[in-house]
This record gives sequence, C-alpha cells and structure tokens, in this order.
Amino acid sequence: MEKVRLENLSKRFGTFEAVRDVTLEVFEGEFVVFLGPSGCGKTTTLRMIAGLEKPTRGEIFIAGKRVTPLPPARRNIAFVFQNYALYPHMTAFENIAFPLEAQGIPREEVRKRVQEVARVLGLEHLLHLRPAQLSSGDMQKVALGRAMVRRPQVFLMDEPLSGLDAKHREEMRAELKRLHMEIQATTIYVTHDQIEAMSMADRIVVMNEGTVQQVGSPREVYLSPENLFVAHFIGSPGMNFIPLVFLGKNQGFRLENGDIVRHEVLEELAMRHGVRECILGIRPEFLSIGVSGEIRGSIVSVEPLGYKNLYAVEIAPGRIIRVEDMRRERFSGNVSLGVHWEAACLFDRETGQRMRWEHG
Amino acid sequence: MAEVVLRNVEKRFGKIQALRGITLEVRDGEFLVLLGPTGAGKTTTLRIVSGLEEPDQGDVFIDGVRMNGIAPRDRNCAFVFQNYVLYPHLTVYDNLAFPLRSKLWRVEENEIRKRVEHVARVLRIEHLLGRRPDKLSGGEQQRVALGRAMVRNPKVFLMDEPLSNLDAKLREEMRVELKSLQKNLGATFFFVTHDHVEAMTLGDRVAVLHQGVLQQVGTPEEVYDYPANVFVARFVGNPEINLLEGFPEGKRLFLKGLSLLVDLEKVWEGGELPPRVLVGIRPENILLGQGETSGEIYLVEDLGVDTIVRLRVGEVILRVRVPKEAKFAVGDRVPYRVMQEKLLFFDPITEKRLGGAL
Repeated sequence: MEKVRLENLSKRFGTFEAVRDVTLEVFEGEFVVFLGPSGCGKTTTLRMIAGLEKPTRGEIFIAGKRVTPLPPARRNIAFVFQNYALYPHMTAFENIAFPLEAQGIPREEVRKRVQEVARVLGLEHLLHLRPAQLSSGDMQKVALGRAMVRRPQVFLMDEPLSGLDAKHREEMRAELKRLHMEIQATTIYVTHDQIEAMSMADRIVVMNEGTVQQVGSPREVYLSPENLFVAHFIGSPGMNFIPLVFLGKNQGFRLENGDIVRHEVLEELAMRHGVRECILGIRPEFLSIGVSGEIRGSIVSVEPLGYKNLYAVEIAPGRIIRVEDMRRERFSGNVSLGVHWEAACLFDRETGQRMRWEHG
Repeated sequence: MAEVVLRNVEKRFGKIQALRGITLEVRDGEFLVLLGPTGAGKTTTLRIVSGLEEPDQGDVFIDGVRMNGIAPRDRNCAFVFQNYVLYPHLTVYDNLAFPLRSKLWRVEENEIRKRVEHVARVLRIEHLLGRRPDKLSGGEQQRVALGRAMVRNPKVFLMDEPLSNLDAKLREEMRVELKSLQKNLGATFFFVTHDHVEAMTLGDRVAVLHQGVLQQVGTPEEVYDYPANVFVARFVGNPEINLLEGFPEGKRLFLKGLSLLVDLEKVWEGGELPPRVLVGIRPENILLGQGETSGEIYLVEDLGVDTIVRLRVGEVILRVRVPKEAKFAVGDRVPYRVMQEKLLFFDPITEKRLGGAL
C-alpha cells in the first residue's frame, strides 16, 4: 500500500532550483533512503514532506490524503533531526512522553505507550535519566522514542547518525535497521553516506543537483547504476571508468593504450545503441590481478585494509583504476587485469547513461 | 637523508599530560601515519616536530640535528593543515610563489617561475595557475595547498588531517594521489589522522597513539593482524573485532558465550595463559555455512562490496564478514566455524596482547 506520494515536486530558492520534478511513491513499511552529496536537494525534499518548506510546484500525499497545504502538525509525521533536540531538564521518560502530554492524552495511557516504546528500544532501565547522563547512542534512541510514541504515519529522518563517531555510527546503523525490521514503520531517511544507504535501505533514491538519478534496491544501484554519477557515488571507492572506442561488431573495443578487448555481448549492446565512444564501468572487486588478463597496467600503489588489499593500477597515462585483491601478498610492477564481464556496465560517454538491453 | 626522531618527548598543558614518553622514528623517505582518536595527542606531536610547540622534556631530531629551540622556519619542514588557507586575492600562481617571495629566502623571480611550474606539473594544476581560489574545487584547493608546501623543497612534510575536509569520494581519490606524490618526491611524510582506513591505506607504517601514549608502531598488516593491545585491536578494523571472554583449562580454552572449546595445543605457542583472557576474533575469521555449532542471523548488511552479518549465538552477537555472493536471511539458523588459528589473546587486566613478540 502506498503511504507517501510525491508528484512533480519542485522547489526554487530565488533563481536556484534546489529540487526539480521529484515523483516518487513510498510504500507502507518501507525504508527509503534519499542519498546524494551536499546540495543535491535531499534535505529540501524531506523538509517539503514534513511541511517545513513550501513546494514551488507539485503535490504531496500522505496516506492517500493531499497534505501540500497543511502545516507540519497536521501531517501526522515524526521528524527526527540531526541534533536530537532533547529537553535537558527532563528525564528520558518525560522527553518521550512530551508529545502525548501536549495532546492531552490521559496519564495512564501515556505511561503505557512510553513503556511500550522503551521496551522496543531497550531503554526501560534508562527512563529515569536525564539526557546529560545518557550516551550519544541512547540519546538517539530517546529522540526516536519521542517520534515513535505518537504512532505517526511516516518517520522522517535527516542524517540522524551524523553526530556520532564512526564506531557508534556503525552500531546505531545496525540497531536502527533491526528496529525497523521489528516495527515496520514507513521511514524516509536522508544521508550523504552511501554505506548507510546501502546497509539500511529497502530502496535508495539517488539525487544529484536537485533531480532523482535512480531509484532502486541497494543491489540495483550498486550493480546496475543508471548513469556515471550513480556508478561513481555508490561504492567505496566508486566504480572504475575505462574509456573504450567501439570499433564494430566482431572488431571489439579499443582501449586508450591501443589494445583491443573483445566481448561479444557488450559489442552487441554498443551496436544496438549505435554508440562509438563508450565507458566501461567495472567495480574494483570484479577485476583480478594476474598475468594473462585483458587490460594491461602497472601497479602504482597498494592500500592494505587488513583483510584485503586495494591496488591503484595505471592503465594509460594518468588513468588510474582501483582493483581489489583478497590475497595477503603484495604485488607490484606490470600486471594484466582480468575482467569479470558479467558484472561490467557499458555507458555512453556523451550522455553518461548506461546502455540497457531493453532499448530499441 | 631526512629522518625525524622523537626521543622521550613529554608535553603537558596545565593539568593535562598531552604526551608521555614518545619515542618514534620516521625513516627517510617514509610515509608514516600517526593514528588516534580525538585528543590522543597527534596534533601536539606534529606541532612539536614543526617547532610550533616546544616539548617539556625530550628531544626532536631532524636529519640527526637536534631541533629543540630552533625556529619553525629553520627546520625545513612544510606543514599542511586541515584547513588549508589560500590567499583569496591571489591567483594560484601567486599563492604557490608566496613562500618563495618571503624576504627570508631572496629567491629570484626566474627561479620562482621554474619551481612553481615544476610543482604545478607534478600536481597537474598547470591549467589552474591563473585562477583565484574561489574558482577551484575542494580537491584543486587541496592540491594548491600541497603545492605551496612543496615549492620550498622541504625535507619533511607534516600533514594534519589534510583530507578531512574533503568529501568521501574526493578523499578516496586524493589518497592515491598523495601516496604516489610521496613516492615520486621521495620525501618523508609524517601524516596525522583519526581515520583508520586512511592510516592503513596511506602509511608505510602506522603509529597508534592513545591518551598521549604510543600504543604500537608497525606496518598496516602488523597493526591489523597483531595488534599490541585491546585498544589497537578495536580501533583498527571495520567492523570492529569481536571480543569474548576465554578461560584456559589445561590444554584447552573455554570460549564463554560461544560455549566453544579451543584446543590450545594447535593455536597457542606462548607460555602459560592467565586464568582469564580476552579473545579477539576478526569478523572475516568466522566462517558461516560450515561447522558443528550454529547461530541465528540477527541482521544482514549488504554493503555492495562486503556483506556484514550479525550472528546471534546465545547472548552474544558476533560480527561476521561474509563473501559477497553469500545469501543469508534474518532468522535463518546457520552453522558457523571460528578459525581458531587466527584467534588473538589479550590479558584482561593490562589489555596487552599475549604471545608473539611482534
């Protein structure tokens, strides 16, 4: 069932077009992540859903009801901010209870609902403490509890983990995901961190310069990015881009160093699209270091990560790509890279779009 | 030759002991990364090498010459800060030339031109020389800041989190550039960061600092495989190492939580273990889908390149790194096996790693 619908949502600040024509459906119980670099329009979109910004154009529906003209308080949403914004003089219990008391809900009912939320979040033993006595992770949970207690239609979260250090972030990420599995609340979550998006999202909405670049499951955006932006932005490091010139069917592709690589399936694809100037997109883990591969290069540097090594390999003057290797020994010098073609993407260099089979 | 040596360096700010007995050698032409959390004393160490701070005790040597009391400008070090400050009213060319135009050096304009152009070529910013800083991207500004450090041909580069203001994507790219640059220059790099991935991937060696005390100095592999203590084991590696209690009984060790008996004769070559130890297991050293005992999948995080599984075994939740092609669903019961030969043992009181001299 559809919970949130955005129709041609646009926002302009003066002459700056922050969000352009965003159309999207979020389903009941879904965890959708808006992902993109700073300034891409993700937070503005979220603020429009919350009612904190007025769209220049377009409509917003929550639970089937048009809410575009409604103030935030009448949208039945809960917004969890980057800074938890807890009341310092109140205990965790009072902080969580606050939205209900403000609505004039009877005491006994408030107590029951706070207890219930605290149990789900594992906060029962901390309810008597004030924010200053809590760890940052627990403060985050109290902020979440305050959002949950109202039983909103939708949770909106704006980089809620960005105030935590790396280790806590990793833990909270896992807990949030686990929590979502348990309560199945419809959630729209904004982040610039692609790892957060990959790990938590049912679907990722990748944004750049105010427009939606791709909507898909983490696997889809990772393995089949629609364009060069998504391919580069998702993954750490991002997808490698190798310029190729398509020479014709059965003639292969020419690399920058003049070598020819052959792959029937990709040749067919380039043929169908009638594209000559291509970019081969291949992730570091789908290249392998050997001596009898297809792409020649020389190792520039090794980046050890403990459980694997990441190599920087120069395949043409100034063209450096990254290759992952699970072996413990370090390689150096000239290498020949094997390509796992089934995981390769082919892009049109001019438009930056991935060539798809469905086309033509 | 341009090695940097710190010997028994102590530094105190009021009541805070910032550095305690730091003895460290950065070898000639080495890329050494000083890694630690906020407040560990990393920046203080760097400032002492540069001469911006004087140690309370101990000595600093550059190239074998004792530097205590010598002014920063006479140490032949270049300092690259986190917030690279370029002069906004000057072009890239003039920003690069600026250090050479100081009356101190009296460098001829001809020579300045030669050096600026050389540096610009190495950093691939020749096409930017006529522009002002506000017309540059973050990465380009960072290169100019590096270039300004390079024009004086310093022997030692001191870098304080120079990549931390760049976005994640750019940081990944600059990592490779910085590492190649250092190799090409053959210069000594002393680099500070709080990011363990940056430390592992950049450093020839990594020095881990915590609460003003040096914890370990080693190659990235050494620090990862043989952490000197619990702090290093937890700080380096992502996701964090699993730590469990273990109780040695004769030739066997009982791993509490997992209810697993480990045959010490196969995995332990050191002397007698204390009655209680902490046992460290890296997430990739637990194999799912094989073994006699099982756990329940609590969470699956598919990060694209890696998949991280949390496996619940009784009261314990283990972090497990699984191959990317593996498919597990929450709630599944799956067998698991701990690679016992990869276990790390720590003293529960001193938190030092037991065994192996490394």
